[in-house]
Amino acid sequence: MTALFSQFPKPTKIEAYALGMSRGQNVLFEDLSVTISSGDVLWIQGDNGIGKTTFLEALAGLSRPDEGNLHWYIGDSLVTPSHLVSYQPHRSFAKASLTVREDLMFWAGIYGRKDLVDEALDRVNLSNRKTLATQGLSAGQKRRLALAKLAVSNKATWVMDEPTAPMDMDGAKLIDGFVTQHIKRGGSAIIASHATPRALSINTRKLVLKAA
Amino acid sequence: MISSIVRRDLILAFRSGGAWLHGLFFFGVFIALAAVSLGGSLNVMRPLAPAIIWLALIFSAQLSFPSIFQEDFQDGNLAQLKLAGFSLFPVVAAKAISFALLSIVPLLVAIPFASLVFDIRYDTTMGILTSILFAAPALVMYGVLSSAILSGRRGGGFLIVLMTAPFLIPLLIFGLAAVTAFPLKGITALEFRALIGLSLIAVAVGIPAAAGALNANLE
Repeated sequence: MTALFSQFPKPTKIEAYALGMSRGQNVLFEDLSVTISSGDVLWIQGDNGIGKTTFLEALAGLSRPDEGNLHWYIGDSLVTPSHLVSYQPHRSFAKASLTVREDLMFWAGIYGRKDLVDEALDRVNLSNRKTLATQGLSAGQKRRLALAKLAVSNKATWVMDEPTAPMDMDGAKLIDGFVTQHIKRGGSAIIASHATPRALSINTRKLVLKAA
Repeated sequence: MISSIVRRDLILAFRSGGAWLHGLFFFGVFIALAAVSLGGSLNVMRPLAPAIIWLALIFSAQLSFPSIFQEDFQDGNLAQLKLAGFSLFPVVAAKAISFALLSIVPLLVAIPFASLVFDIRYDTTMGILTSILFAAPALVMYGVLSSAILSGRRGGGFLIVLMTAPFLIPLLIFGLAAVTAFPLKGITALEFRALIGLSLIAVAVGIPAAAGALNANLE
């Protein structure tokens, strides 16, 4: 087991009960209940604009659901979402004029894991782009950098919005590899994607959002 | 955490191709045009100089207010910082420090040169510098708070100018009174205590209020 994927000491859980969210007058979903525990992979599918991102943001604790309850647990104790969740939005949040290593180093510093930076860059095949400004990265490479940020965050639940969209075949395999290893160390993943769900753990489930 | 955000802001500013110096250029142009419009007579300009320098500083700062949180809000960095598990207090404090370093300090450096334009006395220049130094925390916090309140909204720049104007009035009044009092009483003048008071209140109220506003805007 490498330092990047060290075991989580306690099982974790996200419980969503009877969630309802809307955008303006438009109800996106109602009465949605789901539990994501350690070792789970949840694929979220659905057409564009159906509310996948809104749902992910709620699970990450970034937006408050209009109805229902959300609880985040580490072991048996209730925690705030930031202890548990790392969120990869569909748009890169790398600063354009920072180099790849500087950008990752900043976030690793925020998470208190600067020691993981070089290993993470190596694992996502960006070690030969370390000194390149992030604005020079391709869309797929930006995704690799975002994947490295998930890994150094050391959080148990990865919430990923369209991680494979701009990726090549190798990139998609890389994500699968990361998620598989993350599951093995007691993590969980919630992935919104248009790709066909792949069984990345024994507990792989699929949630399809459909228009009423 | 505060130091790593400040360090990153400084690196980003220095690599931005001089965008952080826009306020300074505005300050210089304002001073030059004011001198021209007043006719260039030193006897006319000398008594007006503190007011003109103070106005140039305030307008220049207002120009930079909207950008304090704009980029970090739009590109998702603020949401990620919130998710990293810290309260937004240190984020607000870090942004206030970077704003002070990048927008206010260059103006403080420029003030002695501006006072050369108006041929004002040494102790008046020191009075202007000291009064602005004491008022700077308040100025920074008004900017941070208004930028936080309007983060993520289109056309916030114009509203920020309107929002901060009433708060800047007491700063201007006490600031200019302090400049007048400085040659006689130094920094023991009552006006400086008023400026320190305004600054302390602005910091004490501004940081939690700005953190609350950002939190609300992020949800």
